[in-house]
Amino acid sequence: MSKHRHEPSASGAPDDAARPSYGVPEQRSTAPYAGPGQEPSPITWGREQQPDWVRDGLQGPAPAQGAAYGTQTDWTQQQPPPHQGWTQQQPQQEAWDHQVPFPAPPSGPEEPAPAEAEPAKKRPVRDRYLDLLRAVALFRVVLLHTFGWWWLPLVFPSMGVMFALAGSLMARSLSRPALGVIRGRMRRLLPPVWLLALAVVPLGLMYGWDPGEDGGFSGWLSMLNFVVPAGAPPFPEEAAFPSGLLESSWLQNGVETLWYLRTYLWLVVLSPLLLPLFRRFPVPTMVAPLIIVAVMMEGWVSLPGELGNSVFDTSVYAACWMLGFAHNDGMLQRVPRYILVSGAAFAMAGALWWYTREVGFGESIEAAPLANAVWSLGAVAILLTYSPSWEKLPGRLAAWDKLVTLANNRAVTIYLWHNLAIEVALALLNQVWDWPILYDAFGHDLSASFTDTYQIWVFVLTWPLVFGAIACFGWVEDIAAKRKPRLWPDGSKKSKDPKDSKDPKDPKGANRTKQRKSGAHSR
Amino acid sequence: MTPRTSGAVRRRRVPLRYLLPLLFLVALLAMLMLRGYTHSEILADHRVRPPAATDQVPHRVLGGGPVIDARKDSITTRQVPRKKLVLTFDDGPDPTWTPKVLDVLKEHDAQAVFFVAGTMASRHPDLVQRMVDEGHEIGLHTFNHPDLSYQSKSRIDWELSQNQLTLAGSAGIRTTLFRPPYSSFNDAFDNQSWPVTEYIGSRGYITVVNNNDSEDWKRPGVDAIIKKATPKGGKGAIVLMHDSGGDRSQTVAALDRFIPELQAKGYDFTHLTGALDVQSAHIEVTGLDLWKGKAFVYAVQASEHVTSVLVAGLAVIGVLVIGRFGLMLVLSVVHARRTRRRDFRWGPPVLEPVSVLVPAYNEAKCIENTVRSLVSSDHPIEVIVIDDGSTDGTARLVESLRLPGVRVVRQHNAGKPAALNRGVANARHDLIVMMDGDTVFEPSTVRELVQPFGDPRVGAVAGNAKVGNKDSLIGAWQHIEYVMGFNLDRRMYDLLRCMPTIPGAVGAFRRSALERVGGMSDDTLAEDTDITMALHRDGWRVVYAENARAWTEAPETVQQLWSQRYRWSYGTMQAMWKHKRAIIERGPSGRFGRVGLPLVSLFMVLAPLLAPLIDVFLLYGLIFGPTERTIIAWLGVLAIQAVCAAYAFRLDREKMRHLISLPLQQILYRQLMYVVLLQSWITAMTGGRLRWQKLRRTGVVGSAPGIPAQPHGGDRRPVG
Repeated sequence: MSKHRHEPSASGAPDDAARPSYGVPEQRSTAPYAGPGQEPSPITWGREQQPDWVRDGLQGPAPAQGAAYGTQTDWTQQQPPPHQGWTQQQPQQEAWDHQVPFPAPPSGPEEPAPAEAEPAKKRPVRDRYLDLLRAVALFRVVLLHTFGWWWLPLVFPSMGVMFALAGSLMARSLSRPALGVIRGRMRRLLPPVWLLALAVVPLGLMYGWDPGEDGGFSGWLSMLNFVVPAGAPPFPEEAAFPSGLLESSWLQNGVETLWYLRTYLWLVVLSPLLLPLFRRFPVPTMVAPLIIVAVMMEGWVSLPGELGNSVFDTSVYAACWMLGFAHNDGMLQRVPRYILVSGAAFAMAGALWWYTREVGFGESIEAAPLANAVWSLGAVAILLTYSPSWEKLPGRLAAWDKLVTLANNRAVTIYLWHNLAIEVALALLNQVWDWPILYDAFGHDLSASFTDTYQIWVFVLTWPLVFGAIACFGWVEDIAAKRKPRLWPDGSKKSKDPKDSKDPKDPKGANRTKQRKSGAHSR
Repeated sequence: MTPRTSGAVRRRRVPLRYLLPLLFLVALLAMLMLRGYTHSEILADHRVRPPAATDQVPHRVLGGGPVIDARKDSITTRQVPRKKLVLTFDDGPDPTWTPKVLDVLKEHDAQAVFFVAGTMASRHPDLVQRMVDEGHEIGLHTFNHPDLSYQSKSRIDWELSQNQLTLAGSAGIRTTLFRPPYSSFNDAFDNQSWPVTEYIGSRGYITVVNNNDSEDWKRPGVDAIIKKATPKGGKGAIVLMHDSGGDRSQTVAALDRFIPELQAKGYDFTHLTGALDVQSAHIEVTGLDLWKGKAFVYAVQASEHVTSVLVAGLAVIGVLVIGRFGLMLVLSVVHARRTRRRDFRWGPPVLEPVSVLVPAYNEAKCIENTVRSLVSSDHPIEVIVIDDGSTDGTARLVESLRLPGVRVVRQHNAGKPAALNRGVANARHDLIVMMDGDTVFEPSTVRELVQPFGDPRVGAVAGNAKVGNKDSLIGAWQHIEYVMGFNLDRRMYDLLRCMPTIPGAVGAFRRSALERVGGMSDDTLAEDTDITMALHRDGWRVVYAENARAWTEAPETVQQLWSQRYRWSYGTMQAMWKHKRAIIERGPSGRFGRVGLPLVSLFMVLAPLLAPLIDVFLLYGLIFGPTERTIIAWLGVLAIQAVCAAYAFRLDREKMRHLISLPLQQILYRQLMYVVLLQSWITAMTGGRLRWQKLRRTGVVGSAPGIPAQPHGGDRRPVG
């Protein structure tokens, strides 16, 4: 054997040579499922049912086997929380609040009893993997609405991912009383919707939109959905815009994405019921919405109008929402990985087959809702099962850190305003047709190439507009979350505001300040 | 970022050893695609436009002659003069019928026009050359025979230029004659097809339709063909016939009668420009265009040959795979029946004590579990842990355990074979068990492992290595591989008396046998394969003890798996090369060399090398070919494997649960394995040598489960 070079771990764990001496057994956690990076007990198989010969041969607990990937020494002492990724009990308001990852003082997270025994606690941080997923999902949504490629929902099921992540956060928040959680969610969600409504509805009403046109009074009643989207907010197919700047479909495009919020609110309201049901009977509860979808698609049961739409959409994505529950509870790590991934692969293969039968390649899978639901379920299951719980984006991904943070902090804003940004981009680009230079740039007619690359230009121009929307309208999110409004929350400014890290029992940060003084500085 | 396993400074380029196999597979796929293109499987458009209105077609054309010149703004048509007949053959050249047609024409001293399709011409360039040599005229008939009224201008240009390219490559000419696919008489032009002709005219071609349609493709009988082809009253005509696209025997027979009949009536069979008395339609091609044409034709020929080679290879691998399955099943049944018979004994029961060697290099995480499991063995053993210069205190750890019967021997880092040799030297007993530092034994393992030594002819015994960490995806895949691949294989090889390798994790040897062959050597990377082959050559029997179970930790990340398999495959090739003399030797060595080595190279080297073909054809069939049938065929192969795997699991008394990951294994894991093998081939042939890569231990395998493994709560965040 040649002079063997020890192979370091995949994510930079300290070299084995640096291990402490083996005479000292370290405390091993007795949690039923370890958090991220936790080294498993070496004698883990059938531990409770070890045959006598193994048990008798052992003398006390074996020494801890040292760190696995990416663990720092402290973590072996830290009591892992009962789920991975989000290592701090925090309400959903922190979900979109980027916490300062490292320099903040160790504060006591509100965690069950064993946590108190531990000495030096590292400050828990966001799971950047989930943040990255959310950012990619948003990006893909904008891609789809710009280019309309049919294969995009197949390649990355954004909606499924977003609902799953939201479900995970919801499950975590539900450790507090349900009513308060629902109220909190609505409080965070509705003001940005109101802002959008304030911007577009009066314009629409002034320029040709008559909600009472088809439905009379019920048409006007459905306008209430702009206040609380119990149903998808309505929109006209055509509406003029002052000076004809935007196309007549601008209002439709701007508002039609709001179905997501309606579905989201329905799922939020249903979560206090779903969560305990899911914890008792995980598989039937997850399969039930899919059955509802199948039943409604076959037409055996049909509900009229917006109610039917709401129930349908909610059922399509409820399974992904419940995957979020499972992720939060650490259920996904308890199922042997090969079963989960193989099962998900089978489900996805089945969904693909169903999709080719119902719709076929060339059209988006969203046209076959059952296939879409199962495909999203399988894909999200695989994504979450491999969830590596990063503290920071590793390697080459670290370059995207700011954008990912920005996307997460302004996810609602991006989602609400991107379609309008696309419309405005289209309108602006329409002006280019009048430029003479397009037709005679040094003797070349560029109009044909401009037509060919038109969508790319729209895509390129959309992003500055989206960033503009973030700057102009994003502050509403902060206000809704009872935070100091920020203009550009990409995590580059490390805020010293004690309110930045919310403690549900201590919203004003009074206790936190005390802890900070006693903990880190220990004077 | 972690450094690559190659140990070099992190390079931004893709290393050659990944690039070469990838390029090779891409090249194979490209060849298949080219063949698909020339066989009209790819990019073919089979739509035919139904007839449309004719109000936009100039009257001059509708009522004019079949030769339409739209090259200039004024469109002219020409008729063939009296007593001249121009035979035209579409869609050729066909390897069966065109030579016959050419023979008939030559016999009767007639000349004709051949409108060749590019796909056929590129596949049979020699026929095109013959047509030109024998004085016939060639015209274009597009490359893929689509209905041009459906195609865009760029597609039309593409069809024509590809066709010209083929002609240039086959016969060194270009032509100005063109006949659109699905064309007919003049009055068949309509609003959809006329603009196509106009456009093609603007490109410099003369469009030729026909006066008489023999409809020979319908096979109405020789008389009917002749009747339709004969023009009335001595008029000149262009006659449409086909020399390709089906059974053209009637066409050939008709020609044989038709030509002399009309020649007797004074008709002259000539080609078009001869009949019209104008300059020849052929233009010679020289220079770059000629070479481009030749290159294209050459590539098409190559793709044909490559495809036939690939198809042959696919047949070979198919036979190998099914043959292997069959052999494995049959021989496993025989082996199991034999060894599980109640009265089966290897010989007198073996009760003497055994030395167990545990070579360890930096196994501090697992060595304790290993040693404790050994100590609980129900057979008298002494355990010797050979510390190969560890830097993490392995030796100290073992000594601090103070277990009875466990000795530690230290040496400077010299490699596993040297460690094992030192262990053999220090061992007190004559039966030696060799294992790895991360393997965990059951109490009965050692006993089961040494029972075969009751038969004095047995020199070594292979145990039953099992994967401990089978809950992750990669672990489950390897579990299936171990149970189906390795263990079923071992039964087969046991019966055939050519077991190629004893697992390093659990194997037993007779000291006398080891001494006769000179102990372990580090000539190869796979010293276990090496020693096994040496024992075979020395005449010893090597058997498989299925009840001697040992639990080993399989690599969890792709990188580690890659390293391990690379080492195994490269080491196997090295060992086979080292023992190649066995093929020509006599006695037991010769038997091994002539039976064992070829079997091993067939199943462990050739079959995995050809396995990529399955995926190349699968990919091609999915995208370009008959998708449904491809999928069904693949599912069929999967079913066969599932049956085999289920049988293997039953034989080994394993739970069938892990078989759920079999389909994914066929899609993802198998490909990884053959890329590794390809890579090791390339390394072997380029003479490179890789380093020993150590499996990264995580200490998951704690004890042999008395009860099947519970899903444990820890996770190691591996890749798979």
